[in-house]
Amino acid sequence: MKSFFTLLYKDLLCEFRTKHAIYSLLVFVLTTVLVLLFSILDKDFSVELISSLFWIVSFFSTMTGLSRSFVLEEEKHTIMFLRLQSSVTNIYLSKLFYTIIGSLIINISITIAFSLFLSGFIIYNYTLFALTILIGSIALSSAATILSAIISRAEFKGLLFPLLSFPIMLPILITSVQLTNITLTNFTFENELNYLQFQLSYSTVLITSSLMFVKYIFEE
Amino acid sequence: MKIIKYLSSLIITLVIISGIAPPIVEFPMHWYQYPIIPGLEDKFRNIFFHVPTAWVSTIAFLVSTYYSFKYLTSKNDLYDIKAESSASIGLLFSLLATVTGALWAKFNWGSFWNWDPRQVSIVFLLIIYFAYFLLRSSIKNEISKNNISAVYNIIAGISSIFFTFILPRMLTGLHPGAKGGKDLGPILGGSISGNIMVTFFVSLLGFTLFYLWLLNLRTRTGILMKELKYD
Repeated sequence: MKSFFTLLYKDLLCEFRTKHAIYSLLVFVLTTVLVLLFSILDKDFSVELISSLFWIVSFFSTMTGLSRSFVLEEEKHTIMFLRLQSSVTNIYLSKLFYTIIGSLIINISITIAFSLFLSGFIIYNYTLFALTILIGSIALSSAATILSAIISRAEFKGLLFPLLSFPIMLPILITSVQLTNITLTNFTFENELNYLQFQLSYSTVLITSSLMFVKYIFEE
Repeated sequence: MKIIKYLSSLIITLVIISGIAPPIVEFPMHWYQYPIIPGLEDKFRNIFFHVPTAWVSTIAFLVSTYYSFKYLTSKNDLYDIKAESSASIGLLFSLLATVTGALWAKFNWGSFWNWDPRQVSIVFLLIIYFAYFLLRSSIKNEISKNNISAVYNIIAGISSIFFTFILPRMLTGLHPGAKGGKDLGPILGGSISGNIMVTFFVSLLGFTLFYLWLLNLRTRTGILMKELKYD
């Protein structure tokens, strides 16, 4: 447990010192929103379009930035030292929490950018929106972390990651879009709990199986 | 295996004949007549081919996940070959299910592609398993290739369960069994005559035996290719 906190602290410290990932991600989010605004100018967006744009931006920024957690270690040849220092399970868990924190930051910044620039983005149900962001981030990160570990050992990393991650993350994206739809409209629905349960169960199963099998990825 | 080969080809031939040949009448009087299913009429004959292919693809993906799990726990190369073979057969059969489903959709729902949740989910299943084969070909080291593709296959198997069984039931769609739909389709709804039922289950059996034979064949060629180092 101690080594897990050490590893997480190391990741956050590295990020805090260089700020490479977080700046590039924030610029990415801002660029996407601005491009959207320039292309539509003052036309109104429908709620469905806004919520799917929200999760498209979130998916691509998660994929480009945070997928690199394991890949960076492999490229810098530091994964060997990490494995000397602690077990693969601990490395996986620290990367998972790092990804969750990063994904939360991304989603919150997308929320801020959207509510600043998009007039149609009005949240009615704040509790549900916060839950959607939180559970959506956890679910996206649970898929991204294990896939990042898999990709780090393969060739053609840049090509393979979107191809592998998109279908695995799609159930999360579909349900997140539905949930965001619900929070952005003023109506009450009865099935929002179903979607949250779906995301929670999906990420639980993914994290459990990752914990079970992640050690085989680094076996030679 | 020879028996399974001949048996499956015999059964599938019989199913093709008994699926296409019998007339559909309003009040069936003889054993060789099918009753009318309102809304489907002649199109229901696709049940004998569309449902079994989807069934076989689901079984093949689950079996592939199982063998990947076995490989990781035992490190026996045979299980890796079996997992790969089963995944490739599953890919073939889900392609067939997509095509038969699209044909059915054309005549029942109006167009080949309707963005029904089940059509979307089968496309993503196809992408998942295409990516599995791409991943296999992009790792050079033999042992880490087997390990990593087995781990990915388990992740893929988990999400294929969510794609096949859970997601299409949560979203509204045209396919039987979608959210808000009244019934589970003509077969699972239980409102169907005996002779359609018999043909349907015999067809399921025939396609399952066909899958077993294909799996055996692919495994044997896989072992031979490994011995010859033909990659």
